[in-house]
Amino acid sequence: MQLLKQHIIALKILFCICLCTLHTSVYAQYVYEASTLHNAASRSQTVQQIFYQRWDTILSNYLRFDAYIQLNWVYDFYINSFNRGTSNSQAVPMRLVRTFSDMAVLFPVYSPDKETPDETQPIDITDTSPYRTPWDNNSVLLGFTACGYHYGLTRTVEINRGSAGTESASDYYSTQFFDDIFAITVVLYPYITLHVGVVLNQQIEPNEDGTMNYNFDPSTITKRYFTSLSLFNTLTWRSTAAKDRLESSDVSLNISQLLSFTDAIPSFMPQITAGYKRYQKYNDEPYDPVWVGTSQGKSNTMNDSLKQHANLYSYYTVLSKSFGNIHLASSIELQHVDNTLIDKRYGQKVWLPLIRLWWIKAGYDFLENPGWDLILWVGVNTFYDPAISYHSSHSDNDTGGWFAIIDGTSPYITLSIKASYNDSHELDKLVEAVDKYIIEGSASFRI
Amino acid sequence: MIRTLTHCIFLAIVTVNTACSYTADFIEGALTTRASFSISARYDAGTGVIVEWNASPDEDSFAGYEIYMTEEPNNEFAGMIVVGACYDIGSSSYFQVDSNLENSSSRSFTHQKSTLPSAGIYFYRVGIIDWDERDYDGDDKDDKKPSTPNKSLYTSYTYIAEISGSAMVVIE
Repeated sequence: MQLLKQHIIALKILFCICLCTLHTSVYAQYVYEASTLHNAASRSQTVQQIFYQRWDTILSNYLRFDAYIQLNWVYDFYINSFNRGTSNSQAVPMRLVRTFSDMAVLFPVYSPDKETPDETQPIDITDTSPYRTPWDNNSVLLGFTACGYHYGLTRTVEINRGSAGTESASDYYSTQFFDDIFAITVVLYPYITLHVGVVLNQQIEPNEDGTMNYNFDPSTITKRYFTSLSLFNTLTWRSTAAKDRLESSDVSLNISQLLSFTDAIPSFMPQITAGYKRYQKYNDEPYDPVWVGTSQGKSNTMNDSLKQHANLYSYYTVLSKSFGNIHLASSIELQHVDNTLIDKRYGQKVWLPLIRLWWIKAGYDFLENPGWDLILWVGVNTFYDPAISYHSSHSDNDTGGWFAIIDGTSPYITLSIKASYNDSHELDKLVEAVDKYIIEGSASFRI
Repeated sequence: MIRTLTHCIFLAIVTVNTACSYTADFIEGALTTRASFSISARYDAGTGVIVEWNASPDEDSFAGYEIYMTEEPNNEFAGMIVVGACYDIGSSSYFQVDSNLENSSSRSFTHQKSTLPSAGIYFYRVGIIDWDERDYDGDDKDDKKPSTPNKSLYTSYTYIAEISGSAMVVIE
């Protein structure tokens, strides 16, 4: 706590910087119609990504319970909106709200006689978990997860209360999206981890007055199913299936873990993970920036049976290494697509560059107590997507960005604040966030 | 084994019911005072604008209702100003004090014709105002509301706990 107090001023300064950046006058004022939010396949990828991040944390820290919430605000979406007062449409500043909550439990259903704890289990660099003991080898663990992501545009309303001051309120605007995961996890510790779950995608139209009724209507829900199998925490396979097709698959190899089975890993060697991912990203949908194959005879109102599909293949590697209190990490992702892409605006072929994204980040841990971390991360990145020039004033489709994160970790509670601009992690989730500042706060309680 | 499985099922049910997309949205909505209930408003040429609502404020901390309207005609996206409250807090000529707004069972407010702005399309909202939780009586214990509320306390220690969606009215 003493150390926390020592750094509280630094935290305040960083938070002020984050707020100041939001109030500078360099906002992009590119007006557009909300579109990619309607892509349920992309949203399913996002909610799964966080699901897997939570389970990486649960398993590497031997948690029995994890409750997590994340609030993410993307500022300065200028949306063409109908003004009932003027009966005209106008560009109105909106805020995209993305909220995520998660609750997961994991407990043993079978425990063999106690054996020596497995020392090969990788340790999360943000938490050395001195407060928890590893599961016994050959234990069978059962887990349940319920988590959900909400996306939606909101409009801020300024309320002048006279001498009682000024406050603000918010209205829902346009379609609101709710994506939920319900999953079962089975672990044969430390050999096999299996996740099986369903993603439920739902859209709700708010009322004209800015309120919304949570109408849970099963007939409007679309389902996706996902599985993940990890062997020896080294080889991991993940896939997502819609009702009629395999939407994505991802295979990754934790090379450092693999090497540790045979040899002692040299101290200079970073943690290395390499993977391959296939994702049916382009589907001739109205929100896609490109046509697949050809633009001849295609329109945004075409029949589903005429739509063509293109897979994006990406090959990625992630490196991380710690030097005392200093943590470094980087990643690069290469890409190619298995069909011709045609720009919807110009009818010209789109050439994807080899490098889809890269990022590099460095962090410094201000605390040295085991189980307690206060890490300040800063990072830079680049990102390519053919929709970038659609949703910004960029003349090309790649952009650079930055992010800053403060991660606070204690044995039972974690807190995190993140500010970013054109961060590849965020653009990968929602390319419309290009040229917009993003603030994110998250907290977890764990046992 | 049966006990463990029962435990599993119980935890699964609790988990499913407490963590979903609605939960996080509800929390964010509370942080940003999201419009949470609907109201109706209509113009009566002889009376003025009649605003009606149906809300359930928290009696323990309830301070009053406030009525807001857009500060300029024919603009749904204009800022809003207070036009009705139980204390004299407004600064515009459209403001009127209504002691009924201090009563949590009140369900309507009439914006008198004499205080209405010029003709045009306007939008109304109703705010549910709560007291800050603080020590009002000096006994070193936090109170949910003051025992003898007054205008000074109201302007200093209240906030919008809930707000309605907007209701459109054509004033002629």
